[in-house]
Amino acid sequence: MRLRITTQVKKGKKQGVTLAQLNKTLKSTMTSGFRIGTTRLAKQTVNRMGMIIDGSRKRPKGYSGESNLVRILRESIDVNDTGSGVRVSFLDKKKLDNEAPYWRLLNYGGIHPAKGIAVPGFFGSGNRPERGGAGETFYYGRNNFVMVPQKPIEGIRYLNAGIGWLNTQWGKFSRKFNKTVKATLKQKTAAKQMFGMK
Amino acid sequence: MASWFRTPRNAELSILYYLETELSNDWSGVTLVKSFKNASKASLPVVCVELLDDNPIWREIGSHELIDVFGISIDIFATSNGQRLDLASYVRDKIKDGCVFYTHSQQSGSPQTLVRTDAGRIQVASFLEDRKVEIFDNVEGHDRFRHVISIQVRVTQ
Repeated sequence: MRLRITTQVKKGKKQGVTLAQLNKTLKSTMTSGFRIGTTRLAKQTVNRMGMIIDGSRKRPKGYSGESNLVRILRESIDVNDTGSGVRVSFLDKKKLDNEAPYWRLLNYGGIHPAKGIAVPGFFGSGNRPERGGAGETFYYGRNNFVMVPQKPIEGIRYLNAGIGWLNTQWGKFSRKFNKTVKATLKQKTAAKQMFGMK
Repeated sequence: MASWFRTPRNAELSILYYLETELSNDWSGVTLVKSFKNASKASLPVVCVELLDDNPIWREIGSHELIDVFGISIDIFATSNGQRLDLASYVRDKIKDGCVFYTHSQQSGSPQTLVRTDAGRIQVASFLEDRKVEIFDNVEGHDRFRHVISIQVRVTQ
């Protein structure tokens, strides 16, 4: 038996779909809804982390560019169809280790191991760092002096802020998405009952 | 006249007080501190508790009331990997059931003395992170055997 359900009217002419087609449409709508929702959440989480990273930066006045770390976090957002669902990830540790090796230190804080990770730059208008010196802005730049931070660096916990926020937002998103799924299932069940199908 | 602290500060101090009491009963030589700066100055082993942020949610649609969801970080700086695991397991076990929420007030003339009043409970809503912290390879000092437990808590009446 071939059953057709009228779902829409196009140019004054009724168009029908089979239950299998309807099922396919519903599945794809649900998957795309989930993909859109989770991708948006990943972007918002990275935005939140970016706000904390950029807000904690000490740069010359007028500098408004996005930091390297925020750029990498944005580029790390990855959306994949796994076959059974959608996988959205936004923290590529390998990429971060390669392109921003200080990302953990900035997050957790700690003692900076000078070996190999010293920061190049200068103070003021090209001054070398001096013990006890203060009052000059640090400028990051290659082929200058090498900074070796002596005091522990306090972490800004941008990961916590992002993941904590995501955790609270996820509850809202999943409740909303579950409602949509339930409504869709009801609609599907009603269609089945209407046509006496199992 | 007494001055009262707001909820985030009270929540942080309540957790500190709870862990301080528990640690002093079951461990010896563990220092409990409130901020990262103090942790780096104290001798190991150190447990550092900090309230990081608040992600409030509306109580319901149309309501003007917020439910605070505080992000708490518990950093453990140990002297060995074994001690790191033991301390982390102990702290996790103690904190999972929450603790008493106290409001704190300072009396005029003696700001160092805090007066605690039982005002509800702190409940752990979720564990966000519970892992070894590896900032770089071959780190020394405080960061060598470091662990972090991140939780989200809510205050209930």
